[in-house]
Amino acid sequence: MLSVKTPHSIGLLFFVVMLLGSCATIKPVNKYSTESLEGLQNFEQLTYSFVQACNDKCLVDQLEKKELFKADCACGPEERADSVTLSIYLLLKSYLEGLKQLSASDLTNYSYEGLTGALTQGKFGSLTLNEKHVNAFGKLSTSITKAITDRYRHKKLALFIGDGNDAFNTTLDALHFNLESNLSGRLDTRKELLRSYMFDLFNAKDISEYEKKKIIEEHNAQIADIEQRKKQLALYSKSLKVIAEGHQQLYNNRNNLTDKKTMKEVSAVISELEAIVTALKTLKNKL
Amino acid sequence: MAAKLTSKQITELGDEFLAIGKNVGDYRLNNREKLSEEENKSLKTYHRSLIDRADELYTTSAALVMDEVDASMNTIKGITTEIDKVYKKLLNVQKAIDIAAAAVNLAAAIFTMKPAAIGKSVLKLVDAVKEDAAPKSKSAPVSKSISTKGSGKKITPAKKKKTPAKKAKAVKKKTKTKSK
Repeated sequence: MLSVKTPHSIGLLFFVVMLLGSCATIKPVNKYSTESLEGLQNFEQLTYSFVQACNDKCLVDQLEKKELFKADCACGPEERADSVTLSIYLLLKSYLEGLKQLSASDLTNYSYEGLTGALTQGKFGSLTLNEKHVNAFGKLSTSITKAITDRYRHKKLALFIGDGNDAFNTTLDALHFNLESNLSGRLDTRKELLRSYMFDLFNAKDISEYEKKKIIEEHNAQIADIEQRKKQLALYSKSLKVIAEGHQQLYNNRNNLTDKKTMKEVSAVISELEAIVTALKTLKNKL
Repeated sequence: MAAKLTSKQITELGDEFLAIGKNVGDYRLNNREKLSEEENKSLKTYHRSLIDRADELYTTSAALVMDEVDASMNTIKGITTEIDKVYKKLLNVQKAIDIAAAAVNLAAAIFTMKPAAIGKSVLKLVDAVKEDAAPKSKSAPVSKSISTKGSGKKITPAKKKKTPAKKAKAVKKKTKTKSK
C-alpha cells in the first residue's frame, strides 16, 4: 500500500501540488476569439458588394438610355473582387474559430467515470479495490490530466499566436483595405454618377414642379442610403482594426496568456469591439 | 523589367481619377447655363469615363490584394490546420480514457473467468476502439466550418461522452441486485 510517509510519495505529492497550482484557464484567448469572431462575422451582414456596385451602375445606364429592358451587365471583375474578399474573410473566420475551440474551458474536462466504475466493479484475482480510494483516484486523475493538457494547449496557443501574428494582421489589413478603400470607393463613384444623372433629369425641359419635388426626394433618399452604407463599411473596418489590436495584445503577452494583466488588456479591447458591434447592429436596422 | 503597381497604388490612382471626375462634374453642374449642348454632352462623357476608370481601378485593386497576401494566407491556413490537429488530439484524450476503461473491464472479466462477462467486455472494448477510429463524425474539422454561415458550430466537450461510465454503473447495479 502507498504510504504518504515514503520519500517517493512526498515527491509525488509535491509534483501533483505544483502541477495543480499551475493549472489555469486560457480565458483571455477564449474571450478574445469568441468576441472577435462575433465582430468579424458582421461581414455577413454587410449590405453592399462589388457585384451590387456593378448592378447599380448598370441601372444608371439603363435609366440614362431610357431602355425598358436591362442590357447584359458584365460584372466579371466585380465577381472576382467579391470572391477574393470572401476568401480572406472565411480564412480569418476559420482561424478565430480554431482559437476559440482550442481555448474553450471545457475542452480538457475529461471524465474518468468509466475507468473508476470499471475498477470498483471488477475483482482482480484476490485484489478488490475500495470504492472510496478509486473515486479519489478518479478525481486526482481528472485534475492531473486537466493540468497537463491545459499546459500543453497553453504552450501550443502561445506558439500559434506567435507564429501567426504577422500573417493574421496582414490578412486582416487586406480585408480592411478592400472594404474601407475599394468598396467604399465604389460607393463614392456611385454617388457621383447619381448626382450627374439626377441633375440632368432635374434640368430636363417640360418638367413639372411635382416631378421636380419627386426628383429631389429620390436624390436625397439615394444619397442618404449611400452614406449609410459607407458608414457601415467604415464601422466594420474599424472593428477589424480593433480585432488586430486584440491579437497584438495576445501576441505581446503570449508567454503569459493566463495572467490577469493579459485579461485586463484583452478586456479593454473587447469592450471597444462590443461597442462597435452594437453600433453596427443599430445601423443595420436602418438599412 | 517593368515595375508592377501594388494594390494600394492602384487604389490611390482610383482616388485620383474620382477626384478629377468630381471636378469635371462640378464644373458641368455649376456652369450648365453657360455651356452649349455640345459642350455639356462632351463634359458628361469625360465625367463618365473618369468615373468608369476609377471603378475599374478599385475593382482591380480589390482582386490584386489576393496575390499580395497569398503568403500570409498560406501561413494562416497552415496554422489553422495545426490548431485543428491539436484540438482533435485533445478530444482523443477522452477516447483513450474510455478505451482504458473498457480494457480494465475486460481484465476484470478474465480474472473472474466468466465467459459471458468476457464476451461482453470484448464487445465493449471493440466499441471503444471503433469510436476512436472514427473521430471525424464526433468533431467537425475547423476547415469545414468556414463554409457555414454564422458561429453556430458547437464545441463538443469530451466530458459529455460518458457512455462507458453509464454502462459500467448499470452493470454494477445489476451485480448488486443479483448478490442480494
